[in-house]
Amino acid sequence: MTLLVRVARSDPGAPAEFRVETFHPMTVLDVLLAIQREHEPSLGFRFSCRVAMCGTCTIRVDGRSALACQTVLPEDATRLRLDPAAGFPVVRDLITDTTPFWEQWARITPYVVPADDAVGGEPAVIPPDSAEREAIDPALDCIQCGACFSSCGIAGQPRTFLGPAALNRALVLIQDSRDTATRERRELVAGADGVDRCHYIYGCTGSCPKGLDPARSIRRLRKGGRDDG
Amino acid sequence: MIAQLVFLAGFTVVTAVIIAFTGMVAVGARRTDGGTHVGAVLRSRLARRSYDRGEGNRWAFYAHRVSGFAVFAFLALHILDVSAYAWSPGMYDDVHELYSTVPMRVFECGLLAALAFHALNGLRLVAIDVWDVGPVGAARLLDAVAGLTAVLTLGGAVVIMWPALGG
Ligand code: HEM
Ligand code: SF4
Ligand code: FES
Repeated sequence: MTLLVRVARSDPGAPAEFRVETFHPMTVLDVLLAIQREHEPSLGFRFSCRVAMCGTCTIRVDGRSALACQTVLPEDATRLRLDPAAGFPVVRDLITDTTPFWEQWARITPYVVPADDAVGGEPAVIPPDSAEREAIDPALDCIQCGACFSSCGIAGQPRTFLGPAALNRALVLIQDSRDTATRERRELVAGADGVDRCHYIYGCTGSCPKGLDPARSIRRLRKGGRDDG
Repeated sequence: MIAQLVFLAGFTVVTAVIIAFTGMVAVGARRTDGGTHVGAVLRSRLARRSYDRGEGNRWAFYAHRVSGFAVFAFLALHILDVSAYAWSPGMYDDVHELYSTVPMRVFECGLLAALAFHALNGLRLVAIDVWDVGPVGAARLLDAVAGLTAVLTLGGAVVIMWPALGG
């Protein structure tokens, strides 16, 4: 079957419509590679791992933020529209500058800050069946692809909302008993750029390629974060 | 007569401001948002079942913002035209005759729709926050909000339009 693909180009004069022969299963990344190989070598897009692990290939597929490498075309697809991820400055074609995402991510200190005396002691153990582990696990698999950020109507420049991924990570770390930066994170989360700026759009949960539920993490943070599972 | 013209001028300004605000929301949405392809893509999305229906939550956010602003903008004008009574009851009657004309009655139906949607959707947002209903639950609640808004608006429209249509 032939697929008619429309791709957003930064150069208004550049070709933007391509016909691609499909096979099954075919991913959106396969489509982009076919266009680059057969029609337009200069088409700009990013990818690296091809298996939904690196979070590099985030674009909008028919308007929705998704990983190009994970999105399989429906078998009867005849048209496809590809745009750069929203909420970011466009570098070229489908390549965006994801700095706004990383700036917010860095603000919540996205890693465990251990206590000074933790170094050299016994390794901390959080048993798999503990309440702490059960609270952390469902929010843990973030690959920082920015799909949620791009799909949120509030995150993104010029705004300063922390955004779904950073808040989701904040929840994980606030639950973590080894961490010592909880107070700073809580202040940030409850502050002007934190959970109260969520407007219940659910773009994040609807787009996360890892099946995480950042909106749920935001609701839980609003209720205090720790202990209430 | 002059008072009526002043009211109509104010009404025109309010309408223009509401339209401009709606445009601003749409342009801002286009820039920061993954979900503002109108037309064919929107229709194909709304036709999707279950999980993807969550996309409606996005449109509800914009509708909530626009309806909240529209009601507020009209309320600002309405406070002024009602306060004409303090000035002179004759002037008040003069201005308020306009409210019973057919075009104003049609506008009032629109206002009722905006108010009903904003209030019901506002309660839905509170419910989402308190009970953490999730994207699918929120979409189901939105169906209920849309249905109730339609019923309230249609019912109210009958009452509002009745005298003008010779009932
Ligand atoms: C029963 C009555 C009402 C309820 C339950 C209600 C509820 C809400 C809620 C929950 C929000 C926050 C929305 C969000 O976070 O996205 C909101 C926003 C707002 N409301 Fe209302 N509201 C009501 C009446 C009104 C009235 C009468 C006006 C106008 C005078 C109004 C104007 C606004 C405006 C301008 C916003 C800001 C919208 C935004 O920033 O997106 N509301 N309302
Ligand atoms: S929460 Fe999901 S959508 Fe957001 S950055 Fe992490 S993996 Fe991507
Ligand atoms: S190429 Fe790594 S996530 Fe798609």
